[in-house]
Amino acid sequence: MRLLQILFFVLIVRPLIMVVLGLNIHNKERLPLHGPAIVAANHNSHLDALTLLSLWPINRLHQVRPVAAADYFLANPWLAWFTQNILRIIPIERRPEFREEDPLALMSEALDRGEIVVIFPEGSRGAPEQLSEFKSGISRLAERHPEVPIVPVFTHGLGKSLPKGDFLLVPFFVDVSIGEWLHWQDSVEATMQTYEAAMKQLAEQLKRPAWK
Amino acid sequence: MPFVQTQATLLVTFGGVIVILSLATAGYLALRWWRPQPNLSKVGARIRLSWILAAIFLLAVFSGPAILLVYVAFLSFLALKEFLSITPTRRSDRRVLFFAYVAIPLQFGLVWWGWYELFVIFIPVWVFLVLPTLMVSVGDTEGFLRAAATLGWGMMTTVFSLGYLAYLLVLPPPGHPPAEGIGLFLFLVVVTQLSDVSQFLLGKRFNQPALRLKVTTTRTWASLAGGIPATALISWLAAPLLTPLTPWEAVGVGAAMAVSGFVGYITTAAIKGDLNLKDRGSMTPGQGGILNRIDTIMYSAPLFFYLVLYLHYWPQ
Repeated sequence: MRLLQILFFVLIVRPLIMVVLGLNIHNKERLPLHGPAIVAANHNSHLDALTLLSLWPINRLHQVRPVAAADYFLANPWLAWFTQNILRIIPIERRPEFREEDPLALMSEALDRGEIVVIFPEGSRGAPEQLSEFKSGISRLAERHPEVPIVPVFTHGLGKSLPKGDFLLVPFFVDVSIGEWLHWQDSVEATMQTYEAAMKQLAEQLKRPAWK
Repeated sequence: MPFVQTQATLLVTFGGVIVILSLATAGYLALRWWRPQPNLSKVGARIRLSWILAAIFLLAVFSGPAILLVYVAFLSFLALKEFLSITPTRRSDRRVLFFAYVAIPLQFGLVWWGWYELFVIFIPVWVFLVLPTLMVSVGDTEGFLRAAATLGWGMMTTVFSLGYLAYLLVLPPPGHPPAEGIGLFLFLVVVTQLSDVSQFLLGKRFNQPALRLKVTTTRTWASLAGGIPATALISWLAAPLLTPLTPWEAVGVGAAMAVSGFVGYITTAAIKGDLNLKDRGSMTPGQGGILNRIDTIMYSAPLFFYLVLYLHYWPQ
């Protein structure tokens, strides 16, 4: 299965992300190569997770676990097989009425195993190239693992290439800007504020024209 | 002209390129050893990139014009993508931009078939008129003219102009070609690159306030004044090997290419200034953008193409 994952990324994902789109990675040295770490990015497109996963070298890929909505990505058995075995997602139940157990338990276990958890705190792709409100799940996760760093990642361009509700991929260069590592700030609110400030700063540093 | 001789000419050309690159690398290493400077790493990155490009070129040239044509088309795709990524685009034009990309395989297909009459009007007439029509059909009028004009400029420079570089490859032999189309292609690329380097070095050496330009700090009037004789000399040296140009023609063509390269460079600098990308050095971080690599070729390719056509294809 690991071989299938590597083939999928080498033959399909990387050519798509590197050649059809093209990546500008800012501050690549801040990417955590070893877990445990929480990588928290903004969410604009289905390509977000694939783009972030292609940042890591192939030999680290099996350690990186993107968090994805169970209602969407486990919707049918084929998709569920693919997302769980090839993308190796950690499913999260977005609808509270369906939650049977602690929604953060699987992520917490992954961090305990030393894996890198990739999460989109906006929870949904939302309007293209606009930040929506961050949900506090990353802070609650950091509260349980205060020693684990939160790495803010800001991406720009993926919402232009493949926005929500569209199937036509239009090539644009993608900026991925990795911020300085953050840590648990002794309260959920303070941690979220630190994260939000870091994301705003990364967005401003990019100086990309607004997409109207 | 026999195939063997063509290959020999190409080999000599590449020998020259490798010698020049080796000298540049040696000079860079010596400079790093004796007089380390913080901004030297930028020069090093440029030299490394030149080696990589030369290697890709070497492979492409010896695998034949078809591969080389695909290579230029791909370059055109990267350049258009970069242009559309750094300029402000409208959300409502997203699907229209998809069709702008579709024009690339069509334009380079016309090159491959040698359909010159359609090649020269496809982008400036048909694409230029049809893309705004698609934008109108979407119906968003806010910022329409700016978006249509920006897209038109991008298509003309990144697809139409680069198309001339590819069209050199399919030109028929004009009677006494040392290396046919591929020789003209190599001549354009090598002379433009060396002209660039001479203008860069002259701009660095002579940057007194009186010589400075408004739009860029890396080229001065000295780049132009010195670049013209330097490029004329390079052209005079390389022309007998790769082109049907006579020595005097080569000097004139070289001088003209120095001017067009200079204009291409400062025009791209003006665009970067408009987009507030001036301080970044390059449009994309790291190795510098594709547009930075092809800015001089965008202006030199059509000029060189028509000069060669006027001098050796059309007069008889």
